[in-house]
Amino acid sequence: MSLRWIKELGHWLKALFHSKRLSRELNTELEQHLEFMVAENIARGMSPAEARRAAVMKFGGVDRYAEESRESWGTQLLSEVFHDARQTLRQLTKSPGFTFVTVGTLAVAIAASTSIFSILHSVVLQPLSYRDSGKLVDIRQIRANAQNQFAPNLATLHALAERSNSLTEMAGYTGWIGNLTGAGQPERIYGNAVTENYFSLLGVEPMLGRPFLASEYSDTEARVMILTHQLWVNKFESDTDVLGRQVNFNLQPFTIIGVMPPDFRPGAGQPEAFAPLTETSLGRTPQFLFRAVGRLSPDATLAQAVQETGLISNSLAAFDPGQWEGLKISLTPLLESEVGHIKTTLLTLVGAVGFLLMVACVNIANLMLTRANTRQREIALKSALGASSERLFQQLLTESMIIALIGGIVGIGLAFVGLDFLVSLAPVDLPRLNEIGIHGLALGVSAAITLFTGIGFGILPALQARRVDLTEALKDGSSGSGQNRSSVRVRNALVVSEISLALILLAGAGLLMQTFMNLRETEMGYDGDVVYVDRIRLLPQDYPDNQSRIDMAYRTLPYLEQELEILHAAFASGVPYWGSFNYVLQLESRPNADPDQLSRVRLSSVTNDYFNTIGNRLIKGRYFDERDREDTPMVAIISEQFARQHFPDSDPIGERVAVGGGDEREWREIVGVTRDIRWRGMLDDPAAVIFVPYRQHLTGPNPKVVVRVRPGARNPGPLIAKAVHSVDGQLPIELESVPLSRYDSNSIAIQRFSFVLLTAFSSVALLLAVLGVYGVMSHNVNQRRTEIGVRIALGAQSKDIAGLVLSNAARLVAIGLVIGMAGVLALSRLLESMLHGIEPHDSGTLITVATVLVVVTILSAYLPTRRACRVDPTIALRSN
Amino acid sequence: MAPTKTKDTLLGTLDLLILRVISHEPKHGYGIARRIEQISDNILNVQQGSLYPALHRLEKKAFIQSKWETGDSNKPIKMYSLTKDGARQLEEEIAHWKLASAAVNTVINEA
Repeated sequence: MSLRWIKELGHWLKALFHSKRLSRELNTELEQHLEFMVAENIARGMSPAEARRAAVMKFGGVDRYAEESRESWGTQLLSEVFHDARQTLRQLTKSPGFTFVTVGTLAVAIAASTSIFSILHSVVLQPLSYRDSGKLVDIRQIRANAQNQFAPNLATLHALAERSNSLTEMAGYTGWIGNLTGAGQPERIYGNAVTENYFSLLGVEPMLGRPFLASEYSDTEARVMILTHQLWVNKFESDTDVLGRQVNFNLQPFTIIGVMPPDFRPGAGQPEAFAPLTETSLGRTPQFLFRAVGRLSPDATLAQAVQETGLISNSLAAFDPGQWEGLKISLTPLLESEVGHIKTTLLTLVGAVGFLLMVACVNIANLMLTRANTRQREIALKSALGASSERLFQQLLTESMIIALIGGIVGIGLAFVGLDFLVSLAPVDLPRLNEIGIHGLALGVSAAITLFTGIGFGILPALQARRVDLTEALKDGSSGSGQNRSSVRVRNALVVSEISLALILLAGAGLLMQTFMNLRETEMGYDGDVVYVDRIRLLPQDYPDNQSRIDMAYRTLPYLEQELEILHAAFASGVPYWGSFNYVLQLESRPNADPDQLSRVRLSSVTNDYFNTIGNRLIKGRYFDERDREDTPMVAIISEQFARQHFPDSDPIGERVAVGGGDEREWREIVGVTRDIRWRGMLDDPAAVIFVPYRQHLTGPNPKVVVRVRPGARNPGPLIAKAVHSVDGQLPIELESVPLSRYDSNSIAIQRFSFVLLTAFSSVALLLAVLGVYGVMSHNVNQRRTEIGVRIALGAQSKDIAGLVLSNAARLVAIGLVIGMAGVLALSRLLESMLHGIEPHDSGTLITVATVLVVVTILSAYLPTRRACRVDPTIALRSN
Repeated sequence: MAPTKTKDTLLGTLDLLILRVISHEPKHGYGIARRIEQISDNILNVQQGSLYPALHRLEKKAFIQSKWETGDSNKPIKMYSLTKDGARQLEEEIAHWKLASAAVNTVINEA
């Protein structure tokens, strides 16, 4: 059977490629047939001439049989398509306006959908670029009743790794941060100190050199590092001789043994270099991890692993309750944990762009219908001349496919440009930013979209063409457009659907815009625009004890304060976005306070002018001042959130709180409460913070310098560097050079991204809807010219005519509005997780967008209305 | 041109007749038409308009194959012969036809 199939295909191909020869052969064959008939007639006794005439009469036209036989070859369709395509291209060049609008609309919609889908695909759908990355899981621990999840510490990870069967391997890393010297300009490096199996677990290898050896984890003198490709290019100018080179990291000599490949950019933090996770590399005992990763064994599922780790932590709790009691291990697929937070946003954008594409298709269908209407005479003529309705259908569909094809090609070309633009708009912390590109799948999806839209907007006019009433169409000679009732209805329906789709997009954009506005107005608890923070690193050699660090701060402050640009200056151990510390806390009057809530309180030791510097106002009590010294009673100031959590119904002033556990425990009196302050951006809840005087607390080696500048002042970085170097000329400083408000706005970059894009999409949709209403109203006015002429002749005033046209437009808008509103009510729930401070059915937003839509679309009916009012009855009546 | 309904119903039997007529020896188009007319005593009249599309369709389905031969008048003439698939198809169609015509007769006689 399959053999026959091949033979059939061979025959078809022969017919396609040798159609000329086949036609010739067919003619020969038919002529032969005729000859036989002539011969037979002669045999019956006719004269040769008579015999031929009789035979031809009986035979009929040779051409018709040839046509039918050719049809049976099955190549007819293809050659007709070629013919139609040529004809379409000719027609499109003849009407450049129509071509520009249709192809342009489609190209923009396809470019938008291709680039948005490419981002979704590159970021969320595509597996991470590690070996068998689907088996990788992010390991976190979560304490009972606590909300925050942290990576387990090293001991926990080891305990799990020893006992688990469903997870074959576990690895982790912690921050490895320090000053890199001995290679050009001193630089602050953010690296990761990784466990021994980290690279092998991910299945990545250095591009140059080798991974870390087991001996480099046991040898207490081994100091080695691996560079990321980025650091290698930027700092070492892609020098392949870099292997074996010695550099200093925090003044310790490290040997460079490898360079990672360019595509290795592990998730959060974007490390610049790697070192073994050892005491030698870190300069302290490794204990906490930033991140832990595990690999599921080939036959284990995530659910099994979750169950098994649960059992392990339960059984360990019996032996070591301090460490394991109430501890839960959570496992998340690595991809999910890296991109989960942006998935909803990207899916929403894909949905929105789908709506835009629909609006574009509807609009093009409308244009095609208008064109088909004006071409009805041409179509009627063709079918009068014998074109079958299938053939006409096919021709119109070819036409729309050609338009779709050109639109698709232009659109995909635009997408390559548009994608770069979108990436430049994308939130800075968008994961996998470097992996974004237009890949096969995205191209395939665009091709499919092109195909479907081509069929989608071509099918309606084509179906209409099948129903052309020949006599009607040919009879109506005046306008060349035998408008029928069903065509009006179809076009009205298209406009209505355009309006409702546009409303849905507008409502989404409105809600996201409102969300963004709400977030912008978030009370941060500090004056971000004028506050700059830089971090300095005090080396233990030069600043061995607490007193020397405190002295350093108080020696630097006068230099800062003498600068005219700087209004206030302070040192702090914790600043929003710049970290803070967690201590064991105890409340004297509340022994039963929730320990988990207490353990998450942030502690920052600050110099006296800190609150004025950052702009965090006091609501109660007093600021720190000269009274609060090393030898005076210990005090603390708490944030509003702290007070709300632990002293909801009493005055916290005068209450006592212990900071630190065991021997280090120190009791402090609360002397003030400050306004709520957010620590990690605009989406964050106000933080529970306890502030302590700088002189009354152990201060770390990485103090932050906080300055408040005159509004409009330049970046104070150089001034800070000058002040610090006046005290210690050798001190490295990290100059961030951006005000805190920059971090604030970065914290809502995803919200800005989605709001900007959705606004752009809905504006385009609105524009298309306006075009749609305009087009259909103009068309209707043209169609009703005679009727309008009669009305004017019978005494109708301009306002009557305007009312006639506008009521028509208003009816369409009203129906579109109702359907669109139903869509909004059904769909806006999906936006809920992206909204902030606004309900998905927020009536204000919905009324606003509906009003905008109504006003704009009714306005678009203005021109057609004016044209209707100016109809000259004598001309309108004469033309028919 | 789109096929019409009446032709469709005729086509089934025309295919069968063509296959049957060339089952003994290869024939050219005119020969096939004449043979059918002769055997059926001119009751079945094969229109050229149906004949050649049917031949090409059968050839496309690989039930018959064609070959150019030199005829009596030294002109090339296209001869059609049955393929193995064609022979099998012929058997099936004959069986089907017998069944169908018997059924139709039964209905005519007994209804």
